[in-house]
Amino acid sequence: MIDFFSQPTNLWFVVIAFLTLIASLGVVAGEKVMHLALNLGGSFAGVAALFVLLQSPFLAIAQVLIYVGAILVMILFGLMLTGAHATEPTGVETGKKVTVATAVIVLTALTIWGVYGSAGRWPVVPSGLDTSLTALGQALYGHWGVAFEAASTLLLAALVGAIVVSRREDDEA
Amino acid sequence: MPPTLIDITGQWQYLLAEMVLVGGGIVAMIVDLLLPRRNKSVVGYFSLAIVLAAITVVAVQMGRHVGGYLQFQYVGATGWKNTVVVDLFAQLMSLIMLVGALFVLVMDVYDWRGRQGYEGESYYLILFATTGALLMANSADLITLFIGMELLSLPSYVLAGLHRQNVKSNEAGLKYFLYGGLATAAILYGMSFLYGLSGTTDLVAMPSAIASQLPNERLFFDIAFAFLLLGLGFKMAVVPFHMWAPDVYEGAPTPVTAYLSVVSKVAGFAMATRVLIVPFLPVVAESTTAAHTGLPLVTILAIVAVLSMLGGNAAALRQRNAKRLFAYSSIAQAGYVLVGLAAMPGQSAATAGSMVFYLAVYALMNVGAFVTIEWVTRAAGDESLAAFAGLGRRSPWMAFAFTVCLLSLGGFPITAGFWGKFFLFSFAVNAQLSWLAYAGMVLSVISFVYYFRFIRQMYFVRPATAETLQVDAGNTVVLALCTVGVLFFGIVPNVLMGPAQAVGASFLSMLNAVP
Repeated sequence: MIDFFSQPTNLWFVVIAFLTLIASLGVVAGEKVMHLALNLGGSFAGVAALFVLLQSPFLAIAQVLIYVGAILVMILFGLMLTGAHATEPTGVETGKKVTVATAVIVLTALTIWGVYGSAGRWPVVPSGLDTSLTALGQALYGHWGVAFEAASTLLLAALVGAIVVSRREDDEA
Repeated sequence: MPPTLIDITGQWQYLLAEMVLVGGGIVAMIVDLLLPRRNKSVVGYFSLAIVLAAITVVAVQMGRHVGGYLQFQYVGATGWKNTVVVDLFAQLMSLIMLVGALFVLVMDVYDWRGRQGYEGESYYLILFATTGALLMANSADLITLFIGMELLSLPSYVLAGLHRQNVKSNEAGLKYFLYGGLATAAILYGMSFLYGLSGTTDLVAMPSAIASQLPNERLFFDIAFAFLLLGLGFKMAVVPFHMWAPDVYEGAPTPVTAYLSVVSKVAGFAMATRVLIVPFLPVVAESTTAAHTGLPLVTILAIVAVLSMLGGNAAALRQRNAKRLFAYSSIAQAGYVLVGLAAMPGQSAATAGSMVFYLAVYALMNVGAFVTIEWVTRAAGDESLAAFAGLGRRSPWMAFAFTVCLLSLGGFPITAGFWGKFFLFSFAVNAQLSWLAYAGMVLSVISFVYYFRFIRQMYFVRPATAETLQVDAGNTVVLALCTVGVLFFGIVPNVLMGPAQAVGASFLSMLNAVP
């Protein structure tokens, strides 16, 4: 473990990952919707910082522009317009809570055990990767062309779905 | 020269069916906008034509390559590589799903008659969802598979909740969305472990990359497998990931229920066949040696199969609502197919073939059953078993067709369902899983109890009305095709089992392909 922290990037990784996790926990555990949204922003920013550590500055910028800049602002706008400041009542039965908590603890323990056991065997930062915009574009429109096109179809379908779900029908009004 | 979208035009022909569906969906969307409210069924007929065109495309592509096409196909050595895979497995699965979507659209056009709401949307959402379903069969790359799965799932959530005035339909949509989102997250998390271990998202390259990591990182494979099984288990609706199915099947509009139980399920199995088997082959191979320390993956698949057969059949016994009963019935059916999946690693091509055979037959018999359920429950305004009372007198032909489908679902001899189970279970015995095969045989006997409840209602209970049930031409054709198909493949199963075995061979060649 001491070897792990001797590299400055690893130290940074731990600090940023910790902050990101705290923010994410805030999203899950918080009560006020506005606080949740702000925590979500912190989580997005943390992920952006992780991209910087992974030597992908473009992804970091895109993350900030799209998630922190656009999506978070959209959420905040939505909150302002709908005035949703009520907190959700948490009426979950104790039995269910215990089941869920057990499942979460077991999964987390397994994952931590696995990660701890493999510490030092996996490279933290990939080396020799071409992270230039040219390479990214070529991958996106070349090798992943189909996935890219399918994703755009997915967005179209999601848009239609969102309208169907949210539009008020004439006879419902 | 690096490949670009324009350079690889030649490859697009392999995605012609998907392109027809997406293009048709977009045109249907525009047509829908221009049409007045009462003429929306035009969009439905247009969508039918689109799916027929896609079926033609796949059939022609299959026909052109028969014989020399059993090998795993790379699409473009420099371009997409395995992000698109056109092998016989993908093509026959696509064909099953497209035929299922066609039948569902015929049901849907009728279902909207006399209803207000999002009729046009329902047609082109089915087209988009079917595109995603095809991609799930046509890819051997985690990223494309994932996006295909989402392209199937998102429209499905909306479709399930499409009857906005019906509280149960709203509940179905919301439940399906919440559970589905969780399953998606689980699949993505599992995939991220696979990527982390192998450094590639390409399923063909994965086994060899994984084999070198295996001795040190066994635990991660178990974690990846667990998450993938959780997520895909949801998509296939197998116990213990089935909780959503009864509520969603009951609440969703009946054609959508048919879509979920046929197209979504087949797509889930198509993806599971690649994702749950291919990367884990080295892991399974290691399990057979004395030194293994991890979870017995094949045994886990077998246990899930038994739980599904047991849970589905047992719960179906207690149901009085026809759609809910069929939700449990299709959970049990998924259990039978899982028997094939569990028997697959290290087995002959025939095992994969028997799975494809069963899925094809399952699509026919289940669509046939749902067409009947749609007509009977709609006419009676009642979804309970009692709605079927006296159908044998009111509409003898429909009762006969339904009986054939039910017997086939149960696995009665001379129906295709019998041969489907026969092949699945006999290959399970070959794969040293004879306990699984016996469990399957015993548990499928239970299913006759509830299938016979329908038959009893139809032939031995006095009808509430003597009115004959009028069925429109489209649905009659669909029902007739399903029934004839079930009987035909029951009498000469080799007509379908031959191609299905070739499919199995093509799937196995994927495992031997050089990355």
